[in-house]
Amino acid sequence: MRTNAHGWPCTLTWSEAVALAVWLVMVPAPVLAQDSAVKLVRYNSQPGSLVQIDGTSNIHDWTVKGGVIRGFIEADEDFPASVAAPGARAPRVEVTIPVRTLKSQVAVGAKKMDEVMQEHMKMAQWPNIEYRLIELVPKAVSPGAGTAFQFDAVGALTVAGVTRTNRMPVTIERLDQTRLKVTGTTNLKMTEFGITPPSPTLSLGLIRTGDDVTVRVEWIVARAQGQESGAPAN
Amino acid sequence: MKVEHSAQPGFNRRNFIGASSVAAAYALLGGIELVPGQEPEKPADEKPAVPKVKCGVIGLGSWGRELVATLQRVPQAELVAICDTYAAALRRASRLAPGATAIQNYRELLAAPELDAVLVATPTHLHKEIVLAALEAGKHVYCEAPLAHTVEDAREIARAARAAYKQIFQAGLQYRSDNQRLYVQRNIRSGELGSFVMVRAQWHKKQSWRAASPNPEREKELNWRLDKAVSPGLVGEIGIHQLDQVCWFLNRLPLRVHGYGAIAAWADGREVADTVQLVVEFPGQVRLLYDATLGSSFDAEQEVYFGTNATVVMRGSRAWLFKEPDSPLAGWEVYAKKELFVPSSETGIVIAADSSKQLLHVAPGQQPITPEKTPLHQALEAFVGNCAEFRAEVHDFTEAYGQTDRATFEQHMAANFKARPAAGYREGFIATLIALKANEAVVTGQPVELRPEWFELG
Repeated sequence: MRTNAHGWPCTLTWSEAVALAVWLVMVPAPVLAQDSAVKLVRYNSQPGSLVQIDGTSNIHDWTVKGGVIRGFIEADEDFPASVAAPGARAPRVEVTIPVRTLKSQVAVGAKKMDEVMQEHMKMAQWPNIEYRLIELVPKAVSPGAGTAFQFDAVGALTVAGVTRTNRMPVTIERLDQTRLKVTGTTNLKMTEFGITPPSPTLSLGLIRTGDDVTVRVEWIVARAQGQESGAPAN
Repeated sequence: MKVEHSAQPGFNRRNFIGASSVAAAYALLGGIELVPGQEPEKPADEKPAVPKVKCGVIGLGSWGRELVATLQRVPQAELVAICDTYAAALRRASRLAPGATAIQNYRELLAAPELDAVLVATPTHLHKEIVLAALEAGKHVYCEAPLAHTVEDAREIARAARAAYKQIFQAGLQYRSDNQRLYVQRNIRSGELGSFVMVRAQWHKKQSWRAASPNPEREKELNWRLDKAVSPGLVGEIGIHQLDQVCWFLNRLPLRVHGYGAIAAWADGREVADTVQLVVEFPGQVRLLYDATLGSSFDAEQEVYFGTNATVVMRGSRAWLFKEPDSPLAGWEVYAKKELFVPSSETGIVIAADSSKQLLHVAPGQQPITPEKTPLHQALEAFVGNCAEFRAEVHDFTEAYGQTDRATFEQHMAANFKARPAAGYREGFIATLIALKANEAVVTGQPVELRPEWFELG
């Protein structure tokens, strides 16, 4: 087997590759659509999604919740089963969480806590938390049920303008014919993203928050309209 | 709705008398004062997290001008337009808000696409047409209380507000946003008073309600409160706030109301009573005894909630708890500030969130902490803040999930939009219904049964 400059297996010469590229550009879209290799399905975010951040402080533990997860998964027809197979290509996943939507869950003084958090996350400059999937690594053991698949998601996570590579165990399960649920939990340190743990003076006195937080995501996505099972993908 | 007349409490004669001498008198009686804890404010010049809410005020009488003045102290609000059909009122309000566009026709104001919210403070009987048009135009609406001068109009307004589910509607029941009353409400609902025995409330202020005008037509327009055909009366215009507060604190709706009215002080040909008394019956044999008068200022305004374990006295922005000797000890009151009340020499406990902690910071002889903002200020902050955050939440929701059905949208909002405390269309409608029926009892001299189905919006 020949290999290319990156050491990947390659069966085409340079001129063959150019010819193929020209053919791909020239060939009409319907012909491509018949090729299962490029048949992608887009799953869009659905209401009911949840992001939850749990942290600590010298007074009590705290929780912040948000219900807005913007983004999509672009994957082949058989996702997520297809990714569990060896050598499969990672789907395209992009996620945006507006910082404004994250709300403190305390009974009294929540607005103040939100203000403090937004300030420390530099919301005026960086209004969103961004995530882009780099690789989806199947876990060695798949669950018995057959509908839920476990992976390690490696992605680029940007918080307050600072991007770090994140490795997060995720479960992807098929809820029904059109919907998938992605669940993941990851531990982060505020300081890794240049965020100083807040220590506001509220009515309870000086509060010092801990550096470590746990982020839990429950993301529901559904096939885009017109992409119900059997319909051709865009 | 015109309970307060100054945004700076404590600086006019009435407030001075109300806040200082009565407070001192209650202090000598030994009441425990109920005061909510306050969190440090964000400086006004700091950039808000979400864009400002562009507001317009329609109706620029004395209360409308109070809204104009107060709105300008709410950092999140931008007053862009003011509106009144009467040019002189418009000019007077323009001096308070030089940056706002002065408009005589409210439809012109509603047509401005950049306008986010309108506050309607016209005479009560003119609310409906304007509020319905504003909701139709997609604006958030703050409608003064009572919502309307008839129950049918109030119901129509509330239904339209319910249908406009992507807009904020707030009724001008400002006590519902008042930090102090929210705290006392929680305190009372906690069962601290034991079983309710009875409630007494009063509003006394010597003023004619008649305004002078350069011509007879304008005089009729200006003195709509004295026009029997459209006036909700003293109970509808003033009493509504106290009646609403009693229902809210008791968590009960009235069953029956008896009313009495008299023209006791201002026999100037008017047909609207200047002095009224009510007996409002609640479930559980609890009755409210209410009186209001334009003939005397003595003893101003207060509400007294009598319970088997304790009694709460509310006067304006202050509240005190008087415990019965045989009542169980909750604990917090041991450390709370206490004031001695005359003439009965009773000890009152200051009702305040974290009052025992605050006591640590209050030196002997120091003035107690009193709320810096009027209930109106807090109500407008709630309205503007809710408009801004609701708008942002709708935007983020739509960006993420596109257009959805109403149920999905409302489910998301219920979980993710935490509104600041404020009276919505339902509270506004119920308060209006009760106040108008109480006024009916005053006008007819006949008791009015409040049927449970009347409280439904349908």
